[in-house]
Amino acid sequence: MNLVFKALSDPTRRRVLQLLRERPMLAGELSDHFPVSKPTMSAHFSVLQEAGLIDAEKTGRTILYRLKMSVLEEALLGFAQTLGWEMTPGRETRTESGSRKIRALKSEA
Amino acid sequence: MTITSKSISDWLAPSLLVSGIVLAAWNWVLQPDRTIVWAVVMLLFACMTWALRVAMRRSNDNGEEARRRSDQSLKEGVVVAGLIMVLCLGGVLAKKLGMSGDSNLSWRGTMIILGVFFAVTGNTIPMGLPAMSSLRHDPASVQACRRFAGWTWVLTGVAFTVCWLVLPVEKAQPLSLALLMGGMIAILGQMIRLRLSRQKEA
Repeated sequence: MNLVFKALSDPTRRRVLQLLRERPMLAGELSDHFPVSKPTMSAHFSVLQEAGLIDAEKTGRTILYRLKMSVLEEALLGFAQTLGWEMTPGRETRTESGSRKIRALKSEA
Repeated sequence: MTITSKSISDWLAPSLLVSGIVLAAWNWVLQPDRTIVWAVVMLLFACMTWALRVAMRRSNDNGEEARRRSDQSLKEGVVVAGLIMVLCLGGVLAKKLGMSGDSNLSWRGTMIILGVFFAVTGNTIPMGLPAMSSLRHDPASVQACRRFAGWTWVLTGVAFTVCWLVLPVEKAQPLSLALLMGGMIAILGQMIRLRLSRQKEA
């Protein structure tokens, strides 16, 4: 359950879940909705997969993501979206620290 | 979540079966005139014990995922059936010993457990994903249908439970039946709609 809370605490991951609520989507299709790099997006997908909220099906060179949320988890997503859950600064995830480093490197370049 | 439910059913199922057998034997001693009833109850417990033993032995092996999941649902089924039977036998025994004033207590308890069971079952409906290659309908429609069925079944289960918790038996009985029928009709309607949409596409 801890993994679910961690996954739902990030607004990007919540948006991914919202998009997948409409229909299953390809990794590229999902990434197009966000102004972040592909490695960052795949890190987000890994967190969601680890929490068991999405399912990935590989066909050839493409990966199709599908929602795999229980009703309770979907209700939690609704609450998280309404209340705007965020991780506290001291407890940032590896994904978030990774994306922060990438942004810093980009701005240096 | 799965780990928790697995460990709970691992110890709860055998303890419910033992309690049920003890209660059935006690009832048999107090009411020997109903031998056939108690013999059937004992036979049911024997079947449940056998099924649980098979499921537990298989889950110790490193089997495939689908088999492990079916064994787990078998264990959970034994827990629900055991809980209902223990409650009924306990109610009959309490009445015989003159401990319970409310004759509907065990019935009410059984219905509450049934309502919780509906809600728990509905909670996992959207998670069952068939392989994309085996889908005969539009994946988005299938997903929407599963989500609708899950939410409907959970809400039906919760309303069913609340109904038996707060209303008098004579009101809870027709209302809970109406809720159940309403939930089933709504899910069936959605499934028919999905089928018709496929026929239209074809």
